[in-house]
Amino acid sequence: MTAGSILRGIAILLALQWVSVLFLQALHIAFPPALLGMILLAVLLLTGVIREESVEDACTILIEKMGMLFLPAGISMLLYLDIIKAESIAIFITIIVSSLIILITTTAFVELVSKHSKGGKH
Amino acid sequence: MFFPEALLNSPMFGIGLTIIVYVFCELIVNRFELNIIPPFVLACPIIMGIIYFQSPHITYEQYAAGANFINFLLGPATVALALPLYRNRQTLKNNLAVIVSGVVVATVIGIVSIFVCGKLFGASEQVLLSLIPKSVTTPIAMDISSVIGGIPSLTAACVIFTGMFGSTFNHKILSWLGFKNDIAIGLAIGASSHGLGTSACVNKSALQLAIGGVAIGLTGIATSILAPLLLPLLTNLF
Repeated sequence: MTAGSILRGIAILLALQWVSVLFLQALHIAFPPALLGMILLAVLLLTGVIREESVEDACTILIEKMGMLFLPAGISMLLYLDIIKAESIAIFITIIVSSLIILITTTAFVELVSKHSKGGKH
Repeated sequence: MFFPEALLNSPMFGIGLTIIVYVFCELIVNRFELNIIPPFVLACPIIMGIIYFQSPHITYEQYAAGANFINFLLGPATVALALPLYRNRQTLKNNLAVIVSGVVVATVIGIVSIFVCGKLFGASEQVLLSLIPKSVTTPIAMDISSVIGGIPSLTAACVIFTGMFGSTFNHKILSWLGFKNDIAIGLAIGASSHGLGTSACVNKSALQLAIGGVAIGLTGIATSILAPLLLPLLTNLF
């Protein structure tokens, strides 16, 4: 990992996000620009336009330390303490109940589908 | 005395506080082997506490002036999530139909169940919209939240709580119910509790981990497309 490879990777990531913002603005589409950037990068990696080595150092750092990057967002909860306090029960119950529903139905669904499509590969 | 005016009025305050407290919490997590706790979970209340209890001497705006620089990096970090997706391309290719259909089912069930649950327990419109992307990885979830009209910071908190709940209970619940298919388990975990939940697959199975990694990215894409389409329908129904 070198300073040069990290900087080059960050330049590529920023350029892709930049292009995504321009594209979504021009077409008036309500879609997260960074997510379009992610899709673009995945496509460019798969088609071989961008090599894995060009971005891997920058990506590794950003992903590994992502917890720090969303600290400012977490702390801006200070601005919404009243709402959160007032609705904390609804928030917690919704998270727990829906997490269980998603987890169990998805596992059951995929297990069913893969049994029928491949007759159990494992 | 730790917070002179000259420091508080410079971006150094927000940037410094964020990085120093985060690294400090990382050290604590490593030192005491608290691996289930992400450093974020310790650092967040510490910084909030400093700002909250030192107000009015310290204001949130003073913190945000520097913290915005760090927040900005979430953009490139989201783009960077393409790398794990690319590295798992073989797993994705081998199980394409199962993974794509599973992710779509998980996303639709997720949006509907969160909406119905939230309504049932009396969540307000803003809170409900903030909860919708809670199963998606944090930076994407915050983006989706701001697109559909939620509060991105509340979404971030809900995402973390979802992930911690998932990483603690997912495997226990699934094995208690008798599920054994690694593809199904990995996909359901990635789609329901993103990276935090998937990290619990590390010492279970490599296949679970790979499928979970693919599911994280795809659930982000699916939610950002499906949430704006499903929300008007759900609002009309309920």
